[in-house]
Amino acid sequence: MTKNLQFKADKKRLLILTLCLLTLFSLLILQFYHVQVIQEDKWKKRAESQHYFTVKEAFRRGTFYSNTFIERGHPESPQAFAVDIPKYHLYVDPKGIPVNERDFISEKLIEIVNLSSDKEDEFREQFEKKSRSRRLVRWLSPKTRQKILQWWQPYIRKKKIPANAIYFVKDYLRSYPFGKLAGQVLHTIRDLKDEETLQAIPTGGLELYFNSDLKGEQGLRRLLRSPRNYFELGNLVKEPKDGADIYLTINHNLQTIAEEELKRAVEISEAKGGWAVMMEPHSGEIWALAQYPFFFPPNYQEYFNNLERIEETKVRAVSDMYEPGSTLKPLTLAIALQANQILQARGEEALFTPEEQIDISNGFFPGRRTEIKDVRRYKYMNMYHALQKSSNIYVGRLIQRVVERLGSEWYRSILVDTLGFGFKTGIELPAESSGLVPKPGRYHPNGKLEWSVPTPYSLAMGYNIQVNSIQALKAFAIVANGGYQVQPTLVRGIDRKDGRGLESNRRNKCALRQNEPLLQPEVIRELRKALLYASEGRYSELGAYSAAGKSGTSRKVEGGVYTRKKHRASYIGYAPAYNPRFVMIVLIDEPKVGFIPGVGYRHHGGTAAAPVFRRIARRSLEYLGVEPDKVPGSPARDVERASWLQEVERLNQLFKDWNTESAI
Amino acid sequence: MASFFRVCICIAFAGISLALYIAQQNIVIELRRKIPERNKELRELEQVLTELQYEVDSFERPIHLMQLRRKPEYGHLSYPQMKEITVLYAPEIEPEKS
Repeated sequence: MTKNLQFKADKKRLLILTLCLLTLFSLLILQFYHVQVIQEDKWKKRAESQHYFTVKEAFRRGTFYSNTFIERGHPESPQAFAVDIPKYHLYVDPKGIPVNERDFISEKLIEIVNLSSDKEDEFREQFEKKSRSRRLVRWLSPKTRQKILQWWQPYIRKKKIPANAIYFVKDYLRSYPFGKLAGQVLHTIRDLKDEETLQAIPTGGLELYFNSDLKGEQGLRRLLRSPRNYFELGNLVKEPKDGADIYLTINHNLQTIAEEELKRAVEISEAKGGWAVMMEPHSGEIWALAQYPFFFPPNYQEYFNNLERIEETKVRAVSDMYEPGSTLKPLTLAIALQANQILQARGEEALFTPEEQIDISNGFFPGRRTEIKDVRRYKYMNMYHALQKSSNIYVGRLIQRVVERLGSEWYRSILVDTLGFGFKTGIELPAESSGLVPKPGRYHPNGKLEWSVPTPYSLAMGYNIQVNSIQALKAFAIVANGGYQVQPTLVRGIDRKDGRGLESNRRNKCALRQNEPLLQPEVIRELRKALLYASEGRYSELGAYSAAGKSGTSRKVEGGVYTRKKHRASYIGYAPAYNPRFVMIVLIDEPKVGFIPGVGYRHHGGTAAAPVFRRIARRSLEYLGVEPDKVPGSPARDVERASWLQEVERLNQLFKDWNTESAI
Repeated sequence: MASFFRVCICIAFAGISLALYIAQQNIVIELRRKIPERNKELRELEQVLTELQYEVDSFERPIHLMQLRRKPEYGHLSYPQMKEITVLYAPEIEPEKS
């Protein structure tokens, strides 16, 4: 009986024990399930973070390409203006290098990277820092990196030093194969990038304007934690995404021609600086935008750390406003001719005819205390003479008639709405100035009215109005392209590398022509004729090619008054005259004031800026393969091909007849 | 006995097919594994190309070429006019329809 009871108790204990063990085992299984299945991600991440780590993989910032498609039928291979070149930064893990090896390693690295002697001490100090990562040298070429590795690998095997005691971090250096070419337009990026995102910080120009497109996305590389592994050998877990490439309208050859001639002209004129902009008049594509003194982007710190040189980094054709002076006179004539069209459409009498003899002996105008003067006193002129002699009084008389018949508001609306003054052109560059066109009823900061009775006469000769060079160029492009709207642009297309190819930005010439012209064809015809006649026999004459344009000289304002010591000499024109390939503005800032016998005032637009136009235009037309439309060498000129020469001679004779006897 | 042989042949055939399939899969996996490596190589080659192109462009920069052109030995060179240029376009060959 006792035995039986004992057996039952044992059995019960065994059962409880078994149950306990089973329960514990079940808990173990549950815990195992919890860890392996439910908490899989958590433990996996922890294990990976213990065994692996990730490093950022640099991306390539978008490239700026030149316009190699100007010559019809001759596309060239892409030519980069600014491109990212792979380079390496050299780092050291000071704790990974035995103390007794530091001197030798340091000396050897200095020898390979060819470090300058003044930086040797700083280089050696990095080996003594209590850190796992110190940067030794930046921007090493792949060749130098290869040289270092060729020495390092056998050395660490021999000395049993961890492979990662020195390591490289890949980065991209913004490089400029054409050097300073188009420096202000392109601008650059800062030397140090954002450490978190590896994004570059632009300093201005196109780099700043297109920063969101040029930016790429960093990649990630996973590496096994081991001193024997090289950092560069890990797996790429996220491919870096390169930034978009931007195809510019600027052509590197035309830009070089413009820069070369501009530099020469500024030096001859002993001027403060200057700029030249060349634009295709139908599409608005800017083919060249040169500015002197030049800006070499890699040396940006030299410019930004010097208050005097910081001006050299701006695109002054876009940011600077100036009074256009006489270069506005052709546009004044266009406005008067357009007024003629409007009045004739209403069935009213025209304001004037281009051949009409207008009395210009009196320079007094309503509301003006002082007389308006021309360079010389003349008695009579017609429209063609007025442009040739750059008469202030003639354009004043025309605008007087315009304002009397159509009002000041109409005059202003043509300047603003038709010719685009007072508004930004929308060119793809930061800091564009909008210019200033006086407005009736608005006041200057000094409390004077912007628009008073004599304002139209000042506007007619290019004073009292502030424009930027692109605005002036755009207005002339309207004349050159037959009177149609045009949008200046620096971009042909953007390749966003999303498989869609080049996203074109090209303006369609036909599409623009489908719009109503801003200026009537009759206006354009007369104006282009007048510009061509006025350019004949001047410093802007291109020899074998015809050209049309107008020079201007405006005084600068200093201390609230116009100074006679500082000027802006400019020239705006297009070539060839009857089928323009481009329209161009040249502006020389503060040329030295003086008189050259037999030549003229050296600070005048016709002397300082027109020859630059001539040289750039002639070389550019040759480069573009344009057939000459005028045979050089007087008097053996081809009368058939240059028929306007006879007309110019007739006008000159007429001018003499009107003014020789009766000159005041 | 005949049935036994048939079963054996079937099993052998299935086994060989499976082995060939697995071998093929291994080749595919091997190739797939090489894709990132090849991508990396391609990217590196592209970068080398960019660097070389940069060197070439630096040498052939327009200002340098224009300076060369002014030398007497290149005096005979001139820009051709558009009328002197004949552009030949290669005819587009349509693929034969099978």
